[in-house]
Amino acid sequence: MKELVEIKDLKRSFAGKKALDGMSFSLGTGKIVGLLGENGAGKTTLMRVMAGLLTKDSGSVRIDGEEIGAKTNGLISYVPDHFVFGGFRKIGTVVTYMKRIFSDFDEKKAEALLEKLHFTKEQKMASMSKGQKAQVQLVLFMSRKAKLFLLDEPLAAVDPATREFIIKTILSTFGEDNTVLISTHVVMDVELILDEVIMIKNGHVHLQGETDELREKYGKTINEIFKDEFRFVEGGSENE
Amino acid sequence: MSDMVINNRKNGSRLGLERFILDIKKYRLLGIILPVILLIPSVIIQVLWIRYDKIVIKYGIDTSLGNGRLLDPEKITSGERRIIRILEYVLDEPPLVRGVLWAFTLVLILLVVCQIADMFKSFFGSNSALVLAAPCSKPILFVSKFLAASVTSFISIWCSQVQWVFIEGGLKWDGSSLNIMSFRTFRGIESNSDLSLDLNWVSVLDIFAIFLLLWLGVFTILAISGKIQKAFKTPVMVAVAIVIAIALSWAFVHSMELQSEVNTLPLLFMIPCILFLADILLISKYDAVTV
Amino acid sequence: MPWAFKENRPIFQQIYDTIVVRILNGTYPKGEKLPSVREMAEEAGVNPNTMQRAMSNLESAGLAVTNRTSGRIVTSDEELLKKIKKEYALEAAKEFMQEMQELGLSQKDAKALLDEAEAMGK
Repeated sequence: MKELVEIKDLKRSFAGKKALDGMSFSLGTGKIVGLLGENGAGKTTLMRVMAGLLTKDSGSVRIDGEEIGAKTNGLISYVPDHFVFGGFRKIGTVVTYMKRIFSDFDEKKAEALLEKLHFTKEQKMASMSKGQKAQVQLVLFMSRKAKLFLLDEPLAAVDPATREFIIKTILSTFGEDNTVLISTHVVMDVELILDEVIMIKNGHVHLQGETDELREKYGKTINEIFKDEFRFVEGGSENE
Repeated sequence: MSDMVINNRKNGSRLGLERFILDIKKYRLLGIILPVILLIPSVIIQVLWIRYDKIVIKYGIDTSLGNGRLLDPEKITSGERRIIRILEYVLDEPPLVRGVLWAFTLVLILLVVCQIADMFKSFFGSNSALVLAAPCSKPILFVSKFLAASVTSFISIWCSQVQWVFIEGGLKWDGSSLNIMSFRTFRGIESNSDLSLDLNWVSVLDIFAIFLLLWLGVFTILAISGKIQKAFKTPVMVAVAIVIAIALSWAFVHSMELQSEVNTLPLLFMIPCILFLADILLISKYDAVTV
Repeated sequence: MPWAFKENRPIFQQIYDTIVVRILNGTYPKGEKLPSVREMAEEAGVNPNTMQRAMSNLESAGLAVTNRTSGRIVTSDEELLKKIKKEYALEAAKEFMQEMQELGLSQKDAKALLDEAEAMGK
């Protein structure tokens, strides 16, 4: 069977520093997958390569059997860790933009979710707090009917209420025909919603497995496994 | 399979068009609305010239005599006297002309600065993750942006040229028809100056060509910083590349200016070549930068 | 009983236990329809696949029956419910006794303690 994501021996370096050093893994459809790793492990680089924002040095990346390009952009909804709607004045303008650029954008869903959060179309971007911006951005990108969602640190620097909303939004968007890849270095936040985890370190996959299997095998929570794996093998990396 | 390819291509060009419209909208104030508004003074002056000509015909004034040539000042109404005064005396005072010209220069500079800033924000800045996520190829996105910038700067330049001609000179009304090619300078004295030549497409294209060269500079900047970016992910290196590229493109434009005549046609033919070069160097294979 | 996940056991097992307790205490009344997998997953903040797995186990245990027209129904099998209630209660009691033993209390003292705790609770 064709996997949704197939990455083989992916390499990418910046000024001699290897950000991705022979990364290989594959992902099926209908899963929520955690991409776990310390800061600097290569999570963002990997997502940016998959989203077509960075080029690879070598190796192969296939999404639904396709090389990264215009076609895979149509399958992937990438939610970056920074706010990208800065150039827009109002929420309504962004909604129109999304509808025009992405044919899979579900305007009704976006509007319903925005209403749930008590946002109006007239609301100005500049008047929003950081947490509100993160919510709006997530809602807009999650309202695409994409096959693969790439969420880069969606839970970093948001308050607990926002965190809960984000988790619920992810759960409500997720379905049998898509896969959600969430990168984070705070495992506890997402442990319960993950089917699978990929732990990456120094630019390659350190450990990949089903959440429940790993919990059974190690007799620990994923959070504990993560902490142990990164503490013992590479002392001091958690101080980063 | 081939249907899918065609669909993708259709989708690509549709998105290119969307991108183009979005950018035209973005630049509409500096590229269309303000230049058109700035045309108003020259339009008003043309209307005044026509009324002036009517007065001249009405009273049989001999305009070749220069100042104080009115045959029978008593018969002329105060309104008519005012028009004559404006056109023969006041308009000669440069503030209006100079003001409008300055305003135009400012608008053009702002337009170029905005376009270049927008280009960087879209392809390298915080917006890149949104702009480049569009499901169409990067060259299409880039060309759409380029076309939108070209169209708006062309409109802006054309307006400034038209305004330049019509604020300094005037149309001649001979009683039955307007003679566009007959111009006069201030004080109402008809002249066979070269002003009429300025209302020629060539003069617009000359300036437009300089704009395109500026864009060549932008391409160079993108290409160089894209290449450097692959090796060094540091904002400093990108900044250095930008400075180098600006210097290069400035030198290029300057050397073009030094030549007595800029040949526009070959420059226009350069556009596809530039796009091709930019594509090879950069567009389809480069990194978006977040600084 | 709220959704709480603390132990290192697989999450689907913990979900399973929580649902069973909810059935036993009548939160999900017998013979009535259970919320959908998606609803329950969202409420618990867990992956729908995990919730699905817990639900499947619920069905294998006979505690829930899937009905083509009305979805997933809590069993009305009194015997089965009684039996499972006993199992869970026994398990909890065993745990209690073991803890008391660890504290060095005799079985008799431990039983007496239960009465004391009950009196305090009132």
